Amino acid sequence: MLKKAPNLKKIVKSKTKSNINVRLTSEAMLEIITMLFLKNLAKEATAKSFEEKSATIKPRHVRAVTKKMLKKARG
Amino acid sequence: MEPTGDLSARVLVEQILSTEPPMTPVTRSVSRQQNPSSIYRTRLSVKKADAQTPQNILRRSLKHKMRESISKTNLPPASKGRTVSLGLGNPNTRASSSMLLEGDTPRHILMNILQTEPIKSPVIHEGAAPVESQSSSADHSIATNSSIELSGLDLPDLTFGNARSVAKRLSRKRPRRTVNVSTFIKKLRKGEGENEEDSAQEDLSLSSSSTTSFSLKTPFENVQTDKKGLRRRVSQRRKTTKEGFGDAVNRMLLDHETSSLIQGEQGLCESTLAQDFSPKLSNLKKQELINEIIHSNTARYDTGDVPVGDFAVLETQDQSTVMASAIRSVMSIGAQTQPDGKGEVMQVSECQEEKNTTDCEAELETPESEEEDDKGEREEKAAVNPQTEEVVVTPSVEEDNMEEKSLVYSQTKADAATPTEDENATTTPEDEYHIEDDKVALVDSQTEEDATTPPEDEDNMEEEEMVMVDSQTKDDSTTPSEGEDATSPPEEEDNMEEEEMALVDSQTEEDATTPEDEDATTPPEDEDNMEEEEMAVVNSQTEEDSTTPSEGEDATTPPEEQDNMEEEEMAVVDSQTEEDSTTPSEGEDATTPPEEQDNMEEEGMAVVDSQTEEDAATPSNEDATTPSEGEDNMEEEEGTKLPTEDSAAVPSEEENALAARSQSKGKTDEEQELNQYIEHIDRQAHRFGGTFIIPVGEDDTTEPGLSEQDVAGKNSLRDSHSSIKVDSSDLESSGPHAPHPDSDPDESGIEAQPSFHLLEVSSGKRAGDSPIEAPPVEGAVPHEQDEWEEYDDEEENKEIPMKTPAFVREKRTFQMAYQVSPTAFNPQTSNKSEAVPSVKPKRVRKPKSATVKNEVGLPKNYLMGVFRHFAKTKVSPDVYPVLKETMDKFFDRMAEDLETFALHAKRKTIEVEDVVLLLRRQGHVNDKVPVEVLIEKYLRMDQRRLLIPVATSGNIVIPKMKR
Repeated sequence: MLKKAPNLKKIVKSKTKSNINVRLTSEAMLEIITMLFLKNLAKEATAKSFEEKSATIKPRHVRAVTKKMLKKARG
Repeated sequence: MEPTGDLSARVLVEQILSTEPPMTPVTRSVSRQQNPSSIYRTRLSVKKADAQTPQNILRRSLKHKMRESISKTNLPPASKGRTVSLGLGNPNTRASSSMLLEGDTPRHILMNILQTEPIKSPVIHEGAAPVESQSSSADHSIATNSSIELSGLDLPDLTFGNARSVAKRLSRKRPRRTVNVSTFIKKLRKGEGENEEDSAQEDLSLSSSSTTSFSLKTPFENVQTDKKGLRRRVSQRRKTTKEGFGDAVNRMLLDHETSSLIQGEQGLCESTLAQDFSPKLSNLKKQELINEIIHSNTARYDTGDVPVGDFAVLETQDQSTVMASAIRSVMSIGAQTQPDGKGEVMQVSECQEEKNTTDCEAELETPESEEEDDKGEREEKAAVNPQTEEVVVTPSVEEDNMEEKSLVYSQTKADAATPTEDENATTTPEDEYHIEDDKVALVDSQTEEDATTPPEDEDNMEEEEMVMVDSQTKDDSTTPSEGEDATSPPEEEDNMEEEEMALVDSQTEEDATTPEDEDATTPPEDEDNMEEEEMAVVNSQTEEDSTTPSEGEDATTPPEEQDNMEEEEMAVVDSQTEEDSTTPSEGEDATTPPEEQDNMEEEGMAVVDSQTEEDAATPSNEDATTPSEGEDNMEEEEGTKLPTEDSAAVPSEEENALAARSQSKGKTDEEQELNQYIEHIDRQAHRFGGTFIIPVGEDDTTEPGLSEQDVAGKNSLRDSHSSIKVDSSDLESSGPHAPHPDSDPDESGIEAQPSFHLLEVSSGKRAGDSPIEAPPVEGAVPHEQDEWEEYDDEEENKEIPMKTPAFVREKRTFQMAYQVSPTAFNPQTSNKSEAVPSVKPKRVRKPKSATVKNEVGLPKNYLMGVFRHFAKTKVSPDVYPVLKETMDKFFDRMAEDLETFALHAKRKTIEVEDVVLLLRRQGHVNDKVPVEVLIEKYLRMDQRRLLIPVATSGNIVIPKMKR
């Protein structure tokens, strides 16, 4: 199975403007969100690569999908 | 009217015949001049008599001429009368008779001609076409005109000849006649007559009945020469197609030397060339030359399977070659004055040389593309031939006097290369061709060089020959350079001297210095060098084929060996390339690079020698000397590198070297050493400026090597230089410097000098480079420090008289002034400068890493791992940057959203419900998909325990359910 995503707590803390704490349990939930995002992104990128008849996902595929996925990930 | 026409025709014919016999062989211009007059007469008469078209009249006149010529040509073979008068008389009578009998009236003649023309015209054209092409190629418009006229004449002749057999005869003979008409005759008269006769004889001996007819005709002087030239071409063509020239040439050389000589003598007597040769050379020599020429001619023909036009070119080439060969032979004979037996061997070698040279000359003379192509092929073939010839010669030499013959052979080759500037230019391409042809050619060049060197010094000849043989077999790559050296006459001389003198000779050669001084200065050194060279050669054989000097170095000192090897190899390659580029442009430039190569090799040898000598003499001195040499080489190399990069860097390198030395010495007498350095530098500068013959031994050797290397391959050798530098530093530290003040200053001076040389080299004066190169060899020769000092004084005195360009001196002096100050002050500074740059990069790196950490993101392996896991297809590694950027944005938004949620709930801690809300808003959690499903699906057990309450034994729920 996948390894635990490291430094998620630190990342969120660094990203937040105010000094805010992240509870331990919420860090697990953050991992879920991250993994879900990556999963959807990879899925879309794969679809895009197949759309262009490319067996490998290339940067352009990911870049093409990023905007849409980020829009979906809005809170 | 008709009788008048007949009379006019007859008169014209008679006049033409009377005028032609003397004129035909010499020049047809006269006959042509007469012809137009006769034509005009005929025209006038015809016009008056009959209203026939002027074309017909012209045809008649042409036909008459042709008849006359045909009758003449036919008669000589039939009658076989060798006297011109007889031949002339017969054709006249026959022509007149034929005219009267066949063509009673011009009308009948015209009718016959018209009827017969269409049929016969093609035949005539076939026969005449090649001749015309030849004449055209011959470069003489007159010849072409004459050939055309002849062709026109031939047609009527055919008409007159009722039987086709007659026509066939005419066709066969026509080309010959045309050839006679062509201007080739003149050329043939001069020098080819001999060659042609010889070739004709060879042809006869070899094969073909056609040649027999030529032999019959040969007795005629001028006409024969002309015919021979034509016949030759035909016969040669046939020969080329039929037989291999190499075998024939070899056979001729071996078996028919005497016969060829005799024939050659006859031909010489007959031909004008004989006159040229006779005053200069003895009969035997002439014969030999003739033989050589014959061989060369055959080889050319063999090689040249080319069209007729090429043949004409060949003839021209032959003439030029004959002249050149004559000159060369005279030169070689005069210089050598060897016995006849030796002379023969020499001649054989000369023939080979002549072939090459002649090809080159021919190229020069005739810039036509076809000719060049043919020549290139010929040259290649010639190169192959000389190899075979060499093989043949070598055994004979072994049987007889190995040394003497080899010397002669080399001399001949050298002579061929030396004769003139034009020849030099030609020779250089030959060298190139040899290189291209393969290592075999190189071997030849090596042999040539080897041979060239020994003749000058008979004593050294034996040793050198042995070494040379080894070198030939061993060094294939180096040989081309040697061949190049051999090609340039001064270079050859230089090589000779170099082998004898080693280093001093090369300098003297370039500077046109006197060999006597060199000999006086370094006789013992030469002997030592010879032995050492042999040793080095042996080493090189075993070790490497590319570079002999490096091999010698390897035997002596491993680190230096490697460095030197690489450098030398690079330098050799560079020099070759340079030579290739330079040779075509200037003979002098071409000569210089080979010298450089030679010097390189010599230097390597000298280094080895010096090392060995030092070892034998005294360990302390040896250690000091050897490391100094290595250091010098290193420094020089560094200096070379620096000049290319930055001129300012050079002093720093020198300073470094000085500092290293000063450290090794123990920092004692640093000031004194500096002063000594300055003095030495000044001395060296003077030496370099005046002459490179300075016997400062190691310093000189190292310096020239550096300069050469710098010049040759500045770009390629930088890496090797750096490695060499390290080695030199190690050597210096390791090498126990018995601080001999003399040796130290010498070293310092040497160091400074290399830098100067480098600067000079960078300036791009090859002339200066060549002299610089020469000194190293000399430096290598002197073994001990005491000797160095003594030599220095003497050499300095000598050097001043030596020829050195003023500009070179000036540059050197300026550089000296430049370098002295920095060298004295900067050893420490240079060290500091080196240390500083090394520290800087580390500092820069650290902050970068810190910044990277601060930015923080998901590690690449995790990010890519997860992405690959979900992508379920191949993911190119290029995706990571994009993915990282995307995740950065994602985290920004996620953190912002979570913060807002937490703040909205008036909390300062992000709780699970905030994240669940986010998941819900993102659509991942909905009515159908509860959060628990996602947790169970994506999170590990340890995390799940934290999130999903589980009832344990005792009805204890962990974690606690909030309610």
